[in-house]
Amino acid sequence: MESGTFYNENKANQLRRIKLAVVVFVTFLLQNNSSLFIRPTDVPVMLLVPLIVCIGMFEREKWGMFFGLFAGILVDAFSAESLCFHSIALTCIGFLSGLLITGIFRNNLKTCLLFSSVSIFVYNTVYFLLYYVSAAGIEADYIYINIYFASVIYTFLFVGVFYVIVRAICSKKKD
Amino acid sequence: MNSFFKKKATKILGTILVALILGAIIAGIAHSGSTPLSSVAVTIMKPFQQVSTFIGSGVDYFCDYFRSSDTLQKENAQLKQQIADYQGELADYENTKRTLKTYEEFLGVKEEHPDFKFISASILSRDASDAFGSIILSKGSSKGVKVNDPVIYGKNLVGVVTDVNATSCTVTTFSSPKFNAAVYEVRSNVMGYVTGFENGAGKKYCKLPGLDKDCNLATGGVICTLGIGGVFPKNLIVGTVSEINKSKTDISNYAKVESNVDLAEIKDVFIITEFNGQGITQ
Repeated sequence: MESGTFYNENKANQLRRIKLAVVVFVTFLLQNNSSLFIRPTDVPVMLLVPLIVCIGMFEREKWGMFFGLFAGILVDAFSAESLCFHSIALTCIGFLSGLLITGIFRNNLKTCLLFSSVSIFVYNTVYFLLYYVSAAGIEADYIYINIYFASVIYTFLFVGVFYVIVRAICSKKKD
Repeated sequence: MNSFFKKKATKILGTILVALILGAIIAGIAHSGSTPLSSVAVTIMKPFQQVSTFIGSGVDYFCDYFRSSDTLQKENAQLKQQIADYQGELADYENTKRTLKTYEEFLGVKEEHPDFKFISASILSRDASDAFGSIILSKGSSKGVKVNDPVIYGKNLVGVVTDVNATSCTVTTFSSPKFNAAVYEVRSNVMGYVTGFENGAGKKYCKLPGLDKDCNLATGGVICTLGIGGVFPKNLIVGTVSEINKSKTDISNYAKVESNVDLAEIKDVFIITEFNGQGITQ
């Protein structure tokens, strides 16, 4: 009986993680294809960041880290000059989201909104500083405010959607 | 704090970060811009990315139906204006190309005949009442044109100026029966004169009458001006022999000479205002 229960639980975990991987995959395609997702004034949208935060909150630090790595590899593969930035950043975001939920915070929408807003802000700002600030020159502030900061605000609007989706997938998970 | 670093997840994170940083260093050293992991991911993901791009194009196409008619009207007007501009540029380009071709031929003639003095002229109109293709050119006596000046297109003879006024002149072309020029065939050296067909054989043809039955002229022979008479310089190409037929009025033969110049197509010509031997009858 015990081994059967363990086997069913393991199978359920695997199925859940496969579903989450598919969600990550589809979100990556939406993020990368401007025709499939509405973008006002061509502001980029970093949908994978809030998604990885949500996954980290539900799956905890180890699987949050793996999903972050998976998402980061996808973005790096089709990114011009990032050289593992997305992989490293999303891996850390997934890990930290899981760690903070394990130790300090409760898993609810408010926490998700807080984590996501900080993550998206730090993610975009660090990316801008690393790859654009020297090239942009005197127009750096204009580019940051009109593109990268605008992207933070626009991406934040979809955090609730991802929380609902991930919660629905992980609702039957037993801790 | 120690317990944090002892956690399995933390160790895995450290390993992953080290691996990623190493990959980035390798990519940086190799100047390839992508890590080995990214290269593998691109290979796997490429078909999915292509499918999503294809779907995205379909969505764009579908969404175009719902754009406001005002937007489409403005876009339509802009595009029409662009087309009109491009058509203007294309016409300019074609004119420039044609002029360049004319000047290239002119340069060849000038190099062969440094004594020639030319002026360029464009064809203002064709004399509709003249069945033999007289043309009106844009230069006249104010530019030094005078009666009996030969008119050429490249190395080919077009005709001779028969009427001049201050700003234009009329040219009788080689296809007119009023036209006469002493010529010879370059290979066989058969000499004669060319004139136009009375029955209007076409604006590309003239005839070389009065040939003996046993003359050496053959089809394909090149007919050039002889340079006697003081009107045409020597060696301007009149055309090539396309047929040799019996004359209907006497016992001689005549050659049908086809010009390389299509009078209906040319737009610019050159008028030779001066050359060595002009006006000197030999």
